[in-house]
Amino acid sequence: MAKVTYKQVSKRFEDGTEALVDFDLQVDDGELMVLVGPSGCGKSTALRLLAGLESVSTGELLINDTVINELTPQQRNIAMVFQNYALYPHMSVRRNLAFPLRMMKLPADEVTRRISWAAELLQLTDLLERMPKQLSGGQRQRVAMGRAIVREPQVFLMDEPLSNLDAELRVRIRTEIAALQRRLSITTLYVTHDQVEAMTLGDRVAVMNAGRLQQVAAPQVLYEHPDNTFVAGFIGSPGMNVLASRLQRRESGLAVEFAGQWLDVPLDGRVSYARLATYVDQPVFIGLRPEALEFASATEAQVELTLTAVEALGHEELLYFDVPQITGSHMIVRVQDTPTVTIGDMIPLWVHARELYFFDNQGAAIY
Amino acid sequence: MSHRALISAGSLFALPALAGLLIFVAIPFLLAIGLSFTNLRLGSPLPLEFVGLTQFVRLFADDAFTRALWNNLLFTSVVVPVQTLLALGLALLLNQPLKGRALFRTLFFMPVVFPLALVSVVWILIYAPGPDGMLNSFLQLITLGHWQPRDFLHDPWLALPAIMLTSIWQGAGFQMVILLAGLQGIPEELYEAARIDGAGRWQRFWFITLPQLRNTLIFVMLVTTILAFRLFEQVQIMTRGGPRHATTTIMYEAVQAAFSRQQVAKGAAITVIFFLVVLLVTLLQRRVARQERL
Amino acid sequence: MTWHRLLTVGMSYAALLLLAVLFVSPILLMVVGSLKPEARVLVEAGSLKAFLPGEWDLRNYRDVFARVAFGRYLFNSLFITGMVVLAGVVVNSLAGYAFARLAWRGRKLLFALVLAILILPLEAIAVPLFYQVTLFGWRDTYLVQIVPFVANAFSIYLFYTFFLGLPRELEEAARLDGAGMLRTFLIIIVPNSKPVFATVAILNFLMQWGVFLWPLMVTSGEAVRPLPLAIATFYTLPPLQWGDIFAFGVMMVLPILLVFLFFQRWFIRGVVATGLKG
Repeated sequence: MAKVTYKQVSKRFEDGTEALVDFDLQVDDGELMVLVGPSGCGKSTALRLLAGLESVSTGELLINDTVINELTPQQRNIAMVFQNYALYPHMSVRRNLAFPLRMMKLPADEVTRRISWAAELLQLTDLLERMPKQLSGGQRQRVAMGRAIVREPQVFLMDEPLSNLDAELRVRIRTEIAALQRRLSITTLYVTHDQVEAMTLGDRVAVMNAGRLQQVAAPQVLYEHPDNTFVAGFIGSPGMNVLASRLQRRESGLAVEFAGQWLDVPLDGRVSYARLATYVDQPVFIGLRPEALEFASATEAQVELTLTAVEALGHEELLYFDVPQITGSHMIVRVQDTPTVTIGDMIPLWVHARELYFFDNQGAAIY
Repeated sequence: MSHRALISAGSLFALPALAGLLIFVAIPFLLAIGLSFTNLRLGSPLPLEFVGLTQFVRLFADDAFTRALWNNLLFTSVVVPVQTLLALGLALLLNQPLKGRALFRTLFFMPVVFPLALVSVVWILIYAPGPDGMLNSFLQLITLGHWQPRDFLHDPWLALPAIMLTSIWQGAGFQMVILLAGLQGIPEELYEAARIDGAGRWQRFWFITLPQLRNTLIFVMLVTTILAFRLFEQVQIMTRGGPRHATTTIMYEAVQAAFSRQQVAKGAAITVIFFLVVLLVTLLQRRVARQERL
Repeated sequence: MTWHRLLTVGMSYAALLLLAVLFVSPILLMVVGSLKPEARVLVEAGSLKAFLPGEWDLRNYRDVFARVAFGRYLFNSLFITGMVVLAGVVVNSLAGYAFARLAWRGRKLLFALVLAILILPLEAIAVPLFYQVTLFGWRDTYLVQIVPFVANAFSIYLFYTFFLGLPRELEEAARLDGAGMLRTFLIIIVPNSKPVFATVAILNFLMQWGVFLWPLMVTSGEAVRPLPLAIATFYTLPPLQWGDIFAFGVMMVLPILLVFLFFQRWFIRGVVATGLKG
């Protein structure tokens, strides 16, 4: 039974780097919380602070209402799976699994029982006498997990455990990890830079950028209701297209600028019309998912964009366009059943205006 | 490029070095073995003849030589562990992120840079007899006056220990540098995982540091052992093997035999024994190192 | 937790300082003693004053030059050591490369022999080598102190280990560009191998600068003898003046100390790169 709380936690390193700023997060008992974000966003720092490998600059870390800031890693009853597994190279798999239990001074029969249990759970029984260097990447990963679960800790920490595996293995072990976590019901914090991994694994996902928490919510909520342009652009493959734009009031209602054209904003879109109206004649950002545009005939088209690249993925295609107001490098549109197109063509497109997302000029979402 | 050209290039590149090793190492070595079975003595009227193992038999009956063997063994069995422990301690201290550790590292390494001949001469003064001698007055200071001044280099009990101290002083820095490199090769992650697993300071040293350092330690001890058997300069300069063979060594005896007394065959026999001892130690080390490969 | 850290750090510093003092005092004794007039050297050796120079005096240094042909010995050491290091670096690197990268007949067997020679110290072959070089007529020359030491199994081994670790792509690219073996070695391999060259050069310099046994055996008189022998005989030369001896020592160790201080960083890097730690 463990609930983890970060209260206004900040970490500033000796060289001045602000790795984590005013971080507030609560992880419920038994929850799998994923911390995701680009390199340097502070996710690993947040994890290491909880492990006790770094010290908190300001703020409080709590497990079940007990402040743990001053506790050493040894005292925190937390287990961690490292990105490079950190298996003890000179010890067999069995001894690796036994090590934390010996440190806990458990009686020998209890040690044996736990090792057998973990080995069976993770299919390591045949590998117990091998040395780490004799194991494949996937096997080593499982041993690292085994070493963590034998301790029956309060909290699991996982620092990009799948990054060193090849793609196919990654998907397979990902599902195994999710199943394992559900079965053991141990509160877990999982760090990754891969947003697909985050979305598939997490009960909730905390998106981070530049040391700050951007949004924490269930995956679907992040997808449907991003709180700001960063989350919108980060979540999804590919992420949402975010463009600089302006809002104008016209006879027919509100209109928003896109690729040199003015699009009418429908009343039954994602945003409250009344709220949106308060942003007239101000710079805003609009968001369009790659699926929010489609091929149109010349007469129906609302915009025409110049094609700069195509990625054919079999079941669908990604078309890349160069639009001046885009934040990010390209506008990406996802289409299926494409007619043949050539780079340089002007492609007529129709916009699902109901799917428009709006953000103020600070990037915060308008709903 | 033809395959044959590749072959010739290889042998050409290696030729000068191999020729050098052949002429100046391999051949003398074979010669040494051969000579040790003879009775060669320069300036002797006796004809050169093959005498089998006589030289070796005589050696083991020779007081000076058996004493030399004993001294070498004693010297090695004290110096190697003490110096290694000292070097390990220094390396561990310097493995922490302390300010000024580069300076300390240089200071500890400086004695290594000093030629043994110079070291021997300087330490003669340090070992000077009488209360004014540096070591004597230092020992008097820390024992609060209880120490009686001694003539270290002429004392049959203290002479060899005195040479041991000199060697340890001179050699620790070199081992330290190598051990430090070994320590810094241990991934920090292993220590982090151990901390999370509940291991305290001593446990991390015992379960992570030492096993990871094992091969380096063995290597360092082997090199020091071989160097310890070669003990010569300090003996030649500080004690001349005395008093009464208390500090004589295998190499000292060999040089005495071959040059002072022109007993070439005897000198050769001694060096052959020397080689066999070193070989034995090396093979033992390889056996120990092989037992537990990381 | 921080006071615990502070205690550890404090104790570490204390230990380091104590040990540093013990290690440095003989050196300090020598340096300071070389600057004192003779009368004070012996008298003050037993006390703390051994480390305080008081009035500086270079008289001892002048004495050394007056009593002994120091310049000659210095030159001998520099020349012999320099030659051994230079020639050694060339010869052994070529061999190390040949073993690491080139295919040629007998390579494996010969390398095993080289490894066997590794544990053979000079002393095991000194006596017959002595008679061998006498046969060549090389006694009392520079040649005898240089040539036998150029080829060195340990240096070959260091080069070998290092070259093995270089990425093959460099040589493959050179080959595609049409470079022959020697050119590849000189223009591609060598510039990318600075750490090992530095380490081998420094280690050899260190070993050669202090050689004692061999020159003692094969030379007599000051014409070609190096510094270590000189200080040993100087010590036995009456009158016994420690100030002079110390001055001699300081001058003798200065070149090698400078070489080491200058190349320290390369050396440490080289130790790591060549896997000297086994």
